[in-house]
Amino acid sequence: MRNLKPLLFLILFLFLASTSLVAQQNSRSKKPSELKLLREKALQDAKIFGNSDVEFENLETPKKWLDESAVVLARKIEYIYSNEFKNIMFEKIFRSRVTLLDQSAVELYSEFYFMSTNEIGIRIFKPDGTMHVVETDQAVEVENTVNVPSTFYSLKVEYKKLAVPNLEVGDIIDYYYHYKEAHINFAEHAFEPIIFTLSGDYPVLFQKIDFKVQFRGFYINFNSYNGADELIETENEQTRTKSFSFVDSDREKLESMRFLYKYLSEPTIKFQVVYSSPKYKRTSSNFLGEIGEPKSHVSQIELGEYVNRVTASNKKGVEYYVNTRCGYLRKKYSRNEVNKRRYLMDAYYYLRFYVLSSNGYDDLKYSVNDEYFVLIMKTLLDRQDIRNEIVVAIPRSTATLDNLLLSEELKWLLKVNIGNSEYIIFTPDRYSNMDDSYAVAEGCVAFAVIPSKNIKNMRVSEIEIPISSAVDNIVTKQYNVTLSDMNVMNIESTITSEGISKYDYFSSALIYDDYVPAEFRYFDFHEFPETKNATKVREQKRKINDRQAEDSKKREERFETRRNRSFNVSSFDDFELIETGIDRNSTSLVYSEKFSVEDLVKKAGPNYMLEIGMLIGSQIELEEKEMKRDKDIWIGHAVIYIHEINLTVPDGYKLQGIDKLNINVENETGGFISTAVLEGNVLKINTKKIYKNNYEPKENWSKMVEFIEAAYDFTQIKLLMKKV
Amino acid sequence: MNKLFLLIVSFFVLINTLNAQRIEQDLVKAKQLKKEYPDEKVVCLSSESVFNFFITSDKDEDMIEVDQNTEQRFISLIDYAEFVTFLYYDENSEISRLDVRGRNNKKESVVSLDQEYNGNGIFHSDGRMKLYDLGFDTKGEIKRSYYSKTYFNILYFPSVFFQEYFPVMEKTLIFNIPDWLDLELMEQNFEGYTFEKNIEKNPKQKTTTITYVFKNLDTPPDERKSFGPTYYMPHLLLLAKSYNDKGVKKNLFGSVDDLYDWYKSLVKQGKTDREVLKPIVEELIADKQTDEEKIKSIYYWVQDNIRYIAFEDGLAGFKPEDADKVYQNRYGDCKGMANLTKHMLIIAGFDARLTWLGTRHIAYSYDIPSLAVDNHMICTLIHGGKKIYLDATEEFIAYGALAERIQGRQVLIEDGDSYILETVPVVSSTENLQETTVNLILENDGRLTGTMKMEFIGEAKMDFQRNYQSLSSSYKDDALRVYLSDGDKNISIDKIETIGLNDRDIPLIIKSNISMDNQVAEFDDDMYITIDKDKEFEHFDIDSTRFCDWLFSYKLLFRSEVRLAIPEAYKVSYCPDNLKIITDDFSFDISYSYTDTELKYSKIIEISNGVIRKKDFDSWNSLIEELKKLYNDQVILSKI
Repeated sequence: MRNLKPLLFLILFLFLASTSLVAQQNSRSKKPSELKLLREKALQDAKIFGNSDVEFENLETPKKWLDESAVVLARKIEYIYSNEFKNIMFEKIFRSRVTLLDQSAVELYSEFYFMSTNEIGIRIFKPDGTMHVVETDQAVEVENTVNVPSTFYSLKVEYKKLAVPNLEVGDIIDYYYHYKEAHINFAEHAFEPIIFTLSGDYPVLFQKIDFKVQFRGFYINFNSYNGADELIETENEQTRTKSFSFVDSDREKLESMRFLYKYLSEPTIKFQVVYSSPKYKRTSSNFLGEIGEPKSHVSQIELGEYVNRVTASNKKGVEYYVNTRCGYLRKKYSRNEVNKRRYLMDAYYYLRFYVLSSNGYDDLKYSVNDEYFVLIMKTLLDRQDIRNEIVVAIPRSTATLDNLLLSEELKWLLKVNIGNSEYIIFTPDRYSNMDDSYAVAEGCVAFAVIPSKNIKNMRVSEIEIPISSAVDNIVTKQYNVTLSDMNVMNIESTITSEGISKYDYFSSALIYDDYVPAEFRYFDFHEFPETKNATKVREQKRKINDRQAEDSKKREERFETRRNRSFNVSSFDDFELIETGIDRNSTSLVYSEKFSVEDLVKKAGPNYMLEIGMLIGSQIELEEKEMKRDKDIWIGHAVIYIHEINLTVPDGYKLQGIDKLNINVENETGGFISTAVLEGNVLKINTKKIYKNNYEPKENWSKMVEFIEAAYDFTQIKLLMKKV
Repeated sequence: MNKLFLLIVSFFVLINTLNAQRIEQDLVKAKQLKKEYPDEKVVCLSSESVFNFFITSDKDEDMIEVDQNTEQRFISLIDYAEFVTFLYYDENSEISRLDVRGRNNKKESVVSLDQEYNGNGIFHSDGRMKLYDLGFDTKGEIKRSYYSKTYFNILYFPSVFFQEYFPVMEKTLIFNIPDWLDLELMEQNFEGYTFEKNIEKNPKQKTTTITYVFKNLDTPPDERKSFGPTYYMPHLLLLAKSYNDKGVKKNLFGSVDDLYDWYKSLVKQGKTDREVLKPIVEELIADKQTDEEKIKSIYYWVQDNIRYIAFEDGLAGFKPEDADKVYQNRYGDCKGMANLTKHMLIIAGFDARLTWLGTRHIAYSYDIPSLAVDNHMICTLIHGGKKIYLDATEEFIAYGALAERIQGRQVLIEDGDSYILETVPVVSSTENLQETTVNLILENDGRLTGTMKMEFIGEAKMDFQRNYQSLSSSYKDDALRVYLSDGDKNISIDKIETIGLNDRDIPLIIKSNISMDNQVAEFDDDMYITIDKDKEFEHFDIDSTRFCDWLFSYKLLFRSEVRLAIPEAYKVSYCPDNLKIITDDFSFDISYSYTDTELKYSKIIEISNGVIRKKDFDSWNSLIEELKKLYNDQVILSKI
């Protein structure tokens, strides 16, 4: 280590020399305080760019990647956690060296965005090997963060942007962000959890993640998945720190693919560092291992203990909430309510009401925190002696339960048993119904926990979250089609969606006034807190006015865009909401629409060609390269899409080609089945596209392709309407 | 005592009655206005601005300051209306006062939000907006907003528009012009508006008061694809020509000479170090033989290597950045890029000049001496007695080509202490030709297969290049295939060959093989064929209530020809009707013809001036109807 010091000074000296030219240019116009900042900046540049990682010396781009837009030659993220005086310090240094191989990459980096809390340094290497340091003090504030490209965007915070000079195709940009924060020494502080795939927008030649933590007080959770490498650990007794390194190299860029959950298929790492003083370990809301020893797995028992801890530590708050906010239930139900299901429903919808009405009550936003929801619900049920267990599961898009590592990954649910019926209750959003399937973790293994004051009495068991089948999630579109002027299809439609499918339609079908006021009336609540303050009352009314106007405009716009996706709607004439789909007694979303389409009837001499297949809307168009697949298939949920089309054939015409509409492709993954018959002058077409499961192994892809292609081929079928 | 009491009581009763009457009247007014403006929540009953002029000094330089005091009366047309309005300001101006008064003239607290205002494509500017909310409670409620704004220098305040983004029932602008100031108010686009104008001399104050009152001003149209607002919105240009300071006449912008002098003074402040540029210029022209080769080498280098990044911060909005700085930064705005082009060409031994102009977005010419006249800078090369306009902000433009936005525009070319006024030539749509030739045969399996050749020149080529070159390399091949197949899964494209993709001086040619599924439907002995896959303008109906002409990015000319070999034992039994419509601004000529062995489909579409005028919207829309019918019709081949 001692030997390194002269080297560091040498690097520092070289840096100061290289930046001094810039400094000299500006020194005449800069104040002493600004010059001091410049010097500090130069020192920082020297420290970070002078890092001894050999990988950052490389300026060669591998030949195999020369056709890419850009290549990350080296990337390093350092996280340093330390304990100074009464503060917990966190420092993050992100450095990346990227070869820019085309204009789009140059454009991206030439307007360089960064969070205002970060310090940055940028150098550019020209193809001839010369290096230029970029002055970063010319950066300007970005007030509208909508303009921040996703490459640079991470959180909704303040950003700055810098026009990077002298950047051309073939250049290598070498840059860093440096961020430092201090927290007052709390009992426990969990730093932001990090989950990411090793592959990204550009190929990466070398990447490294380093953590440095002091011996005292820091807990690390880290693991790598799907083929990512393991951590390498080193210890420094002198500085009383432990360092952990994660190294990865030669990583191709992430190709986009449909039906893919990247955290399940791509090499991924997860980690989090938590500061906790030992005496608080017993009440921690995180999975803590041993200080300084990376924890890589969470056992069933640990999970149970964690649920027990969180339950105990929230007990008072939950009791308070139940006692002060749930008067409605207390008044309505005696202590020994006989109709347990009715009570359960009322409790659930009462809490959902808080969620969907939270526009009015700002203080109730906490009610959507799922731990809190589950604990409130549990308390309400316990008071009626309704059997329940807390269930913790991981969303199926991020991991499986064996790979659980961080408490943030968990979703809390409640398993309720009344008689022979079992319900899985989860935190409602504004559209949820009590009987809805939990799409987020359908079919996943989860743990059910019965917490107890005495940990010995706590019970943990493994369960599987129920999975909905395709018949639970049917979308039916009924179209009555007539022709006017021979070339316009007038369509009267009724769309019914059930189960999880209806979540795809809610936001475009419902507006606030369709369902919220009814809930207020049901629970006999006022939409806004009652107040005699005239200004507040006026404000509330203005809000309502504005929301109503906005809502109906939004619905119009949304329908227009939704329609335009599948075929070109020439006029949109009517919309009627028949069932909201969020009512406790009816859980289907049903609405009707009237609209006209021009593009689907084509003239052909005295005859007409009907592009009848297009009426089932746009279908997946698989490209040639998608026909083969080497990754498993994750589908949102099993589903059936049904179209029932009745087309009235105008007098004086007969249809040709109806037989082509009879298709039957079905296998264990799904199917596309269609039938067509002519009854009098009405052509009746029924189509059904089924996704039978929410997951298929990659080996089944060719079977899925069969019915996906069949559905697409159907859209291409034309009928001839021949003049008789 | 009793009398006094009665008097007081009667007074209050009277006040209350009057108040109630007024509220009633306001309500009636609101109801009337709601009928007229069903989409508006709030309208402005009156807006009155008074402008006063002062001489101020800043850094030994005198400036004419303009103070604006505005009072606006708004009425709510609905109960509980939220209404956010804003004021614009920048480095040359400030908002010094903003008050809102509600019922009984009671002052209300104003919560305002200060926000950056950046125009399109500007990296950073000094433009800012102050947003504030006037919340209304009842229909018919009236609120007044008062604000004061100061423009520090009249020269940076070249125009005032009458319309606001809300309807104004009565808009009054009052200019108290002191006798020492020679200020012309030039009226623009007043035709068709109801207004009064009054000029009053005030000998005592030594001022002339000019008052304009406009009635019933609607919100201006916010329509894409239109000319800039200076073409159609009523406004005044403030032409500050000179002023008299203690008996001495001092020029402002009295003529284009003054404007040029000012521009030139800014250019002279520049300190371009040509030594910095010499090596690159020498390198660029080293192996070039002819002048044209040398010029191209420099011009194309600037286009390819200098990115357009604009800072509009105070004077930076007018002063060209030093050329060496632009070179080192590898970025600049139009002025910086023009300046770099100029200096590099001078080093190479050419006569190159900075050139100011207003693009076609602006309605004015240099007959008007004002900063409102121009918004762009290019470089003019004077070579062989000709003026060649070089605009390096136009990526992918060829030497000698002229971008649509500068064609026909007057330019102000530097010429030492003098200047040259010229007009950029206008070129025809044939310079922007996009031509497609497709040769097809019908395969036994019903596919149409064959070859396709597309050729692009001028703006059509530049348009293609801009889109294509901005793509990430790894997606370029896919994107090209998607472009050629219109993203239609039925169309597969292979064996793509491009010529001229990286050469500005030759047309861009894309050749490929094409195979189309589902374009032929067979019923009995007939085959129904869709021959046109592109169907340009099929859905191009223009809303006939639109206010502005429809402006295309450039003059368009599409030409295409599809030839289909007729299979043996088949004949053409039906062809759709031909379509031929020719007007001054657009023409469509689409025809089918055939022999025993070949069907030919030919299409020529021209938008000859790059614009569809409002007067032609109806005929345009009926043309599109005809076009739809034609596109929707099929060719029928029948077995012989």
